[in-house]
Amino acid sequence: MRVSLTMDLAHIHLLLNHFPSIGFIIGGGLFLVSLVANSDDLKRASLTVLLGISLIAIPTYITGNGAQDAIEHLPGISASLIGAHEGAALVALAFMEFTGAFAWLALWQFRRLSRIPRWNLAVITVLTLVSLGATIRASNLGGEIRHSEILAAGAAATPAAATSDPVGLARTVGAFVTGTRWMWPTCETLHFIGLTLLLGVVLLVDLRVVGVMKGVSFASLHRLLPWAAIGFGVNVITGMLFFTGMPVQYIHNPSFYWKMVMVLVAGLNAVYFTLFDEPWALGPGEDAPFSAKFAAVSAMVLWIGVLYCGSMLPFLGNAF
Amino acid sequence: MSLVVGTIVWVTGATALVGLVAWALDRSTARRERGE
Repeated sequence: MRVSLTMDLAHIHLLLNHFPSIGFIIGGGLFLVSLVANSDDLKRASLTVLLGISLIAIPTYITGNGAQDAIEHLPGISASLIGAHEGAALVALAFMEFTGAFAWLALWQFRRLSRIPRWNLAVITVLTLVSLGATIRASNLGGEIRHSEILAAGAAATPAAATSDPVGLARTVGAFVTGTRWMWPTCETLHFIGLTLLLGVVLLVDLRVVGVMKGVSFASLHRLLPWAAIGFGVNVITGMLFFTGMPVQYIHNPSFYWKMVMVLVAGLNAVYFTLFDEPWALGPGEDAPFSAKFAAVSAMVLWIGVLYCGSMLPFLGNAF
Repeated sequence: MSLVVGTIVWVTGATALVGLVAWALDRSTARRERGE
């Protein structure tokens, strides 16, 4: 069972690992065109692409550890190349998540202000270019693991089987997380603070859409969404620190897979409440259309599912 | 840094930072909405 699960992750990593670089080329390119053409529609479309790719980057990084598990014992596989790729991927992931965060903020600002402040457009431009460079570097290093034909001539490669010492930035971060006494409990506490921020706002917004607190307009609650987004950001950062600290206890854990799937779908669901006209037009006392209610109920189910799967990591899976 | 001091300092610091960022964002957006 464990072997087949690991092989699945390796396949999923092969499927996903082209999305971040190609997605950022497409999303970033469209974004730059939207700035030149001064097109609001293109801005929103490109920002949605960048946000979506920043979410897909999370499982891309996570499944990389499953791929490592599947190939590190094979002959000719270099531990140093795997470590370099993993470290570069962590840097790329960090920049992509910040790009996604500012892209979401721009979508939220557009909904409230009918425009995106120039400072945020500048931040997104810089972050997109840096993310693209970091992603292409990570992709290139990943390709060198299995494609010796693109390896630089004379490049040293330590066979993975020859060393038991983890190498690379990600392993250094992981060792800091597990080796520093206050780090894990601090991240646990912050993870719960992020969760309460996120779930509190999500429930307020979604309950209003399904018909509770009808006297409150959606626009009033929409103003709270950045608090939820910041809570989500805190949980992505602390969650990735947990993962880099002990990847093995997550990559063999079905509860973790379901949690990640629901996080991604719920993240895309959040775009609906951030940007779309249907919920935004909901005034005091008005009843939401069926599509908005469906999105609200699905959001509550998804986020409570994320909470459930996170809590069940030690019980349904093998974590801790 | 000890376990108790480390967790209290970092949790308090990070929470304060998160709250400050969210509050500043809310204030600045509200000002822009009012056209100030």
